[in-house]
Amino acid sequence: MTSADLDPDAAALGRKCVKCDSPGILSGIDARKAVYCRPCFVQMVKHKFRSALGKRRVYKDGASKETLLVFDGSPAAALALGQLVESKRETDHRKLMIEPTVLFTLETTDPERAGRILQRYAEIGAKLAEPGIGIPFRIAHLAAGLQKNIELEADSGEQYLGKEQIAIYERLLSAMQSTTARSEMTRLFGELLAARFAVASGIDKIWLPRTGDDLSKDVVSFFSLGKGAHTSSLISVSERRLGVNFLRPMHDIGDKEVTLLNRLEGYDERYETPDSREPLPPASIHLVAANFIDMLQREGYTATTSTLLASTAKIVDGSGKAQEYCRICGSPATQKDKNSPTLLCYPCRRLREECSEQTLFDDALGS
Amino acid sequence: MPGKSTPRIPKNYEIAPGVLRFSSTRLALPKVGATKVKKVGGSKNGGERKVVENKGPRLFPQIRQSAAVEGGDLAKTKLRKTITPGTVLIILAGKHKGKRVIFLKQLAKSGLLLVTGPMRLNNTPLRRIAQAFVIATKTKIDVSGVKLPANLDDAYFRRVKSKTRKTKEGENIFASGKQEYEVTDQRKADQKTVDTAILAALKKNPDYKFLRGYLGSRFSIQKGQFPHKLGVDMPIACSTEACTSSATIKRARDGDPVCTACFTHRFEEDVHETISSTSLFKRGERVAIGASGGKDSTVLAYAMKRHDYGLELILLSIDEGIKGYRDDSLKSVERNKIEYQLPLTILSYKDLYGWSMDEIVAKIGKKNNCTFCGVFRRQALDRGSYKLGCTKLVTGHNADDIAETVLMNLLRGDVARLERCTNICTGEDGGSLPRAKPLKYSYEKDIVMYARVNKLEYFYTECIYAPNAYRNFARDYIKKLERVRPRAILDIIISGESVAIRKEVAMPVLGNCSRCNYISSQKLCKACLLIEGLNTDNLQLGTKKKATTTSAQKTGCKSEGEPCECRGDQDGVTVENNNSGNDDAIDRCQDSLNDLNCSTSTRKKKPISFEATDSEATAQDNKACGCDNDGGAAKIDF
Repeated sequence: MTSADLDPDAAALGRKCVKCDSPGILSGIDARKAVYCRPCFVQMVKHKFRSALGKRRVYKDGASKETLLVFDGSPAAALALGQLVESKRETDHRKLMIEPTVLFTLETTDPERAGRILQRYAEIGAKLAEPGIGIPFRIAHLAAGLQKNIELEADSGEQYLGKEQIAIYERLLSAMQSTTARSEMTRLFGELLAARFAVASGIDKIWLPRTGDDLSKDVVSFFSLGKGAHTSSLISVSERRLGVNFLRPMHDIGDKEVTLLNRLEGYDERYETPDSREPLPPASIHLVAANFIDMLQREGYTATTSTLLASTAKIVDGSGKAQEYCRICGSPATQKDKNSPTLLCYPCRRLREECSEQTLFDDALGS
Repeated sequence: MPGKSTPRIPKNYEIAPGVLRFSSTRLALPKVGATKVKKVGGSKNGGERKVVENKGPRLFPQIRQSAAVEGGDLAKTKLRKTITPGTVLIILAGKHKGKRVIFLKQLAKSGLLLVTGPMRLNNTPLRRIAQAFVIATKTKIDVSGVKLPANLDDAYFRRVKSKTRKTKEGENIFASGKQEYEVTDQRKADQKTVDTAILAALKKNPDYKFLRGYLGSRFSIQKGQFPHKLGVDMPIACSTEACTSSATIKRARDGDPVCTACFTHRFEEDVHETISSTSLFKRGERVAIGASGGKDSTVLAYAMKRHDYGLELILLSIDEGIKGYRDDSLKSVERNKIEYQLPLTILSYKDLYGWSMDEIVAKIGKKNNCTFCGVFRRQALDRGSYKLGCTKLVTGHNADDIAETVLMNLLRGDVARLERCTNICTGEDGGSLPRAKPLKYSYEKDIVMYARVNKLEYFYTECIYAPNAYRNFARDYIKKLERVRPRAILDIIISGESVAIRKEVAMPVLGNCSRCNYISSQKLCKACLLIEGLNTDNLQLGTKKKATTTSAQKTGCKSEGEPCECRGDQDGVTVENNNSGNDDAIDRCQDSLNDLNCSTSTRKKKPISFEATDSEATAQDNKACGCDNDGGAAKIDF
């Protein structure tokens, strides 16, 4: 399959690359906007990745270079890892000067599936350990996020962190009364794991593998969960919460661009891990929101993602500057929430109400 | 033995109560059965004795054998009253556990029940089963016309034991292997005969269509159900405290099961809570109710009449001039006027702007017609309210509408509207007629149910010009969301209420239209712009944003009118219609939940002097905003 076959919509337009005179054969979500030749396309996507961090000066002005990449096996994570590896190999002055650590995350509790995923992670880890790259990594189950202080022994003998917490993790998820609540808990566990691991490792910045399309779907689902006030920060490129900086370098990159770049650069074969993430459960807000955005884009409203992200960037919490924070997700607690005895933000309070074992919820997720 | 003294009963006979108490000696049971004379030995024994030929079991000779055991007595195997031929039984044990079968007859010898699926419906063949292992349902099939083959008896169903021969020494005892059961041809023929007759009987039943599915489905116990309470109606109690009635309605807002009276009461309490907690009205105010004849405005008028808010209520209806839609809904409004004894004022587009919607659609086609309708209606409601001397306008926007609007504003990038669209009352900061939404937290489903429970008549049809509105996408999403998580509708509203716009975001400044003096952030308000376009045949005026030549050529953008990055689309997108099916069209178009501005509004509002005057006569002469074809129109204050 040639590059021209990767994006038939763009190739069919028969236009020239917007940056050079070569035939335009690749494009983003909307081929009518701009088409690129292969090298320009690769450069465009990589530039978007780096400029998302560069223009916010995340690594400038003496800021720490240590970064934790949360790798979940998705195409976005593969692209991010590919960029990290590439940056380690670069020798020119434009080298991305960061000191990365990779955290491979495991979501499933099915032993057979976990075994396959761990094997794949081991293969990827072996590549990261090659001379000239030398990126350290650890593997952790989402259940490890339940540990308030993650202990990072050099060699504990365990294949991955969080094995002992899986039972509580499963029990907590089973206690949630709806699939939406379970999905939301899983997402929270992912954030808690990343934050607590980073704090334990002394790392200040975390790369989250979320593309622009993922974030636009998050906007809709966050609004549907009552998180409107916090949405802006939860989908922004840089966000300070839970004692760390969450970075989303693929904020301006769509799923199509990620897929194409992974194919062109070989990241899909090297780093993508099939079946590593649980599919969105049916009858959950997250799936309904994702299908809604996909449907709008199919109907021709191709600017949906960019418009959602742009409009969300313009809004803030209307209750003013926060002085206290939710003890689970770290989002600012509003005036009403402050009156709550458990000091949770509204969405987390709703989540707690949907747990049939609230004592377990409080013990497991308390600060 | 007669004459013998009674055996001494030990003090602890409780330990073995049956052994001594009921021994044959103690009971001196009479001998039964035929006797014979038997010679006995011993010279002093009399030489002969009468003995019973068949003594029966050694222990407990008088205990009746279970009728369920083969060889038992049918006369003593009583069927439960609920089990009669044709009764549908649920099998509780065995291979066919959970299946629903039809009882045919009780077998004579064993007393077991003969049942059949029929085989075609649930794969249950003719078989015997004890009544202890079935639940009898209330469903009965008339099998009086079914003639069962005479050979269906206990012997027919008896298991045939294979004759085992003694194995010779050294022979492999497992050589014969396990014998599989084979259905005989006789059995197949009998099954077919019986099932044909049963199916014919089923077809005669008026519920045949449902019986097929019923017999084909399996029985199971759900959470909260108990076998001993099956067949007994278990009404769900009304969730309202101190109410002992049975629940008949499930509230969409919180899922509580309630009786009809409590549903009405709680709905009205919720609306009252919304009004009182936000101090929406002041006593003595003159309030216009935007009435379209649909369910929302009908319920709103009814609910507001029910509670004494000390208001002077007036129904205000807008006639867009859509034949087959609005003319019918206005009849509903007329009925509301009579039933609620409220004054009614109707304003028409034709009178106000010189154009009816039918004429507009005939001119512009079926695209963007909702833009015109929404803009005109917003102004028309304000004009009418001012004309009537009202200080406030209330509309029937419900929770579903507001959630859709939040979502739409988010999707279209209209952050200014997003900020204010969840306000319960807009325009209170001066410069426009305040608009309130008392049904803000009421779910659409609850409104429909309230109208039905209270037998309110309303108009229900979809606007004929609104098939493909963008709002339909948002509505579809909200409906799916409600199915998954009903609470999400309120959560979207809460999300909308909690957001504010960043200070650094530039917002348009509010002013007045240079022609009609209506609030506008542009020189001409949207209504004047649209009418100008209609009158000058420039149909794109006010409906499409002009793309700059440079950007269009560079990007080849062909997204006509849709938000597009290459144009840096920011402005309020062309208004949307949304006269969707289901309800009143009052101000539903064009994000009509917010301010009265024709485009985007602003936080930096100038004080506006805005007087209500009688504009109708002027409008008839000058067409709407007073603009005539050459554009040099006099200003009209309205």
